[in-house]
Amino acid sequence: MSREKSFAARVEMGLALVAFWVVFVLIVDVGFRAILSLTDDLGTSRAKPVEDLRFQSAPYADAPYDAEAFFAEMRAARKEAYTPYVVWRSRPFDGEFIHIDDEGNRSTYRAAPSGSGEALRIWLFGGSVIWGLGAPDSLTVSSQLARQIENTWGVDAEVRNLGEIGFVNTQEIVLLIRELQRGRRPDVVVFFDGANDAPAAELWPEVDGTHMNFTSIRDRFEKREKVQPHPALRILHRSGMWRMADAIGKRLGIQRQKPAVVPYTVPKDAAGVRRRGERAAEIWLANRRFVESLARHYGFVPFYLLQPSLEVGAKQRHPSEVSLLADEMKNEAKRVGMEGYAVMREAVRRRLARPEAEQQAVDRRTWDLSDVFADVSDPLYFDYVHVGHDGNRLIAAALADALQLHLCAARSGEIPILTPSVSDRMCGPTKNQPFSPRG
Amino acid sequence: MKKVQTILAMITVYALVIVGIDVLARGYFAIRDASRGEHQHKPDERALLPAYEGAQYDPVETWRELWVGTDVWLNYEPYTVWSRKPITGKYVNVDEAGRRVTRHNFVPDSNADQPLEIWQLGGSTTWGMGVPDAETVPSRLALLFNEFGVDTRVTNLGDTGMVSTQEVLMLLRTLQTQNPPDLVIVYDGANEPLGVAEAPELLNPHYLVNRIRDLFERRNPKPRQTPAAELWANSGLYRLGKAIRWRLGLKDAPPSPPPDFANPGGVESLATRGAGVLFDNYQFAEIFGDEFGFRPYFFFQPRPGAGDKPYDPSEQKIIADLRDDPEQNWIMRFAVALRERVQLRVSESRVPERFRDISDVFAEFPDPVYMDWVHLSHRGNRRIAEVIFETISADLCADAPTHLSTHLRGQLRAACNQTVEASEN
Repeated sequence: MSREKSFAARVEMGLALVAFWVVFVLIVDVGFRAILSLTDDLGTSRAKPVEDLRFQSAPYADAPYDAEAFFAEMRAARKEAYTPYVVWRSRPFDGEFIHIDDEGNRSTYRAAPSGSGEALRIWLFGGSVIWGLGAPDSLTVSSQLARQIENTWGVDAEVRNLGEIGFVNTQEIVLLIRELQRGRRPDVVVFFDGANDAPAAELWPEVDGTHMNFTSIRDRFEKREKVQPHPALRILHRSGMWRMADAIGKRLGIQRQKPAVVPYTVPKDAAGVRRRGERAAEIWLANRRFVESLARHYGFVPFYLLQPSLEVGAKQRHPSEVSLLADEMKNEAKRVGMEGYAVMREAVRRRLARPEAEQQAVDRRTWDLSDVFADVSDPLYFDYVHVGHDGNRLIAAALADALQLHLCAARSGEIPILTPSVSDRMCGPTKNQPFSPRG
Repeated sequence: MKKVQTILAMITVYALVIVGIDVLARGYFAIRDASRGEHQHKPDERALLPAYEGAQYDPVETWRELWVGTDVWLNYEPYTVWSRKPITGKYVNVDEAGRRVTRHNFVPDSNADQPLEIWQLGGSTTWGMGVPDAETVPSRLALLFNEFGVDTRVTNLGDTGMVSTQEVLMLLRTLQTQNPPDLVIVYDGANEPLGVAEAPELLNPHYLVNRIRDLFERRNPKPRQTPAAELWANSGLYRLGKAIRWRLGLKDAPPSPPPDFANPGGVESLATRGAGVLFDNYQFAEIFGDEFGFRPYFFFQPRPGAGDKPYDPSEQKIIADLRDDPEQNWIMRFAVALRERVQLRVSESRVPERFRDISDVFAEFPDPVYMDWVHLSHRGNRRIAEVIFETISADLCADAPTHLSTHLRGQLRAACNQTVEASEN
């Protein structure tokens, strides 16, 4: 009997001990939680936002606006909304320097409309350079182009900035189709590409003509993103004891290493880079057929431009740009993307170098503007592809000159988009020059 | 001290009892789930409808295979948004490119002339929802053209839920990477209201636009559960509780009523805008046809409630059920309004040259063909394919595309002559 009693007592003691330790652990956990909340995780666990110091780069030394405030606003404005078919557009934004309308279009300078209904309607498509990454609304390529056309020729230019951060040429054609579906019509359409098309082809070669960040967007759609750990494990990770151990580990320099997931695949060798870069050129050149056919039907004139970048395109690099480029090209994705862009540009140049007799009309409206800064030694770039307001001004000037030369050379009948008064202002009553793009 | 010890011991005992019940419940449900194999799922009720009478295949098995293919989430495709994952079955096959397999295609020898290449665009009715590979509209067209005497290969570019903007982009994307076809057939119209019902503020949005927006923007439509709540929801005790509630007839509160389908009075204006976009998209296909040298044909499809037909009782029930469902009712009203606008355009000759409204194709067809709000059994698909074939073959006989090979032109000439002779006799 006493043995049975003794056994029952031992069981009771054992069970009580289990409960005691559970309660003890809970109390310790609550205590750690309280300490962590008071000490901000011992000042170690919260990631500090990375400071964007690009406002200090050379192109902003004499900026006629507060570059630091502008860059802060640009960060705030960079939010995407899902948009059927084109995949994303910028969210509406109303700031001091940046205004984005409900359709995701950046605001563009326009003088008071002439009232005669004779505005030259120009749509600019491209990626972040056309969107105006690094410049306030008034100093984007679109705004400076509108101002140039107005100041130089007194022509009312209604320029629409249809650039979007990260866009590739196929995405721009989809956006063009969406704009035409809305019943809007341009006179001139400009595509300004290359620095996104080549990286997209290099990093996500599995789908021709894909947009940037294909893998991560696909994973969101297909729900392939990181699977949540088991809820019990999540409870453990949230516990005060775990967080305390984590915080102490960080203090002592002991960190858990998580393998980095790279959401792209780089080519294995130079031949791979070449193959993918050539493919980017093929898609870009072939896409012109879609635009050409739309242009004939809707009566607009399309132009296809290759853009400059710090790596691809001639420029007398400023010392600040030399060190900037060296830093930027340490990033594998950017380096491979720009190597691919060099291949793409070479392939396009081969096409454009064909004898005139073999050229099609579309080739005469395809310009390589990658060397547009060839004679410039002042610093223009604040990263490997984006330029500040001065760079935008030079691009706009080259574009305005080229448009004028082409439209005036062609006004004899090939492209009857200019009304007589616009034509006289842009081209002069007798001007009819052969076309030769600058840059 | 003794009392504290007893209380602590009792807490542990109760905790162990709860854990024990949970483990037992988990074991019970695991065994029950395993015993209910995939094959024991209830057959899709549509497979039992009179529309399948006389089928030379097993509709239940066809639907089961369709659900295997549909149950998994789709592949992401840039711009066209989705495609099918590859599947292999007795009746339903999707290739690595995400395309439904077309049967009865002409397979050229290596030395032979290439066949007439046809791409067919559309939604699930083109893809072939509800029928085996051999009974899809593209497969039946391949059969008809090859029997006519013209070597033909039809590619099924249809996909579930596709609206006309997706079809244009599918055409563009396919032309980016493949040689252009000789003919393009667009068979659509019924899906146009789907995305509009979800997001009427957008222009011709695709189906599931809000859900896909949430995935892209990482918005969670449901508030995220805490780990503790998730642990509870996954426990055996929770499932046991639910099973007991169900046995006792205590059901969960009904889901919140469906949205108001945004401005019911706006159906008319939305349909006007929808018709505008539909014909803009036809225009884009024509423009690309001029550029790439293919001839496009457009067929505006029938659906129950928006097309004349002596409806069978099973089809009358489908229509009555659609009217009772607020969302489906809205979609049906939109479809009716869209058809009216299409017919107005036809009467005013404001349609493409090779456009045909076949929404009344079953006007004198009393046999049941519909199995749901839009899908047709083999009987309906055969009729659709016949009408499309008759339209296109007559057009080709009257005016053969100049770019066709000599071989194909010869075959076409012989086939057309034979048809004329047969009709004269």
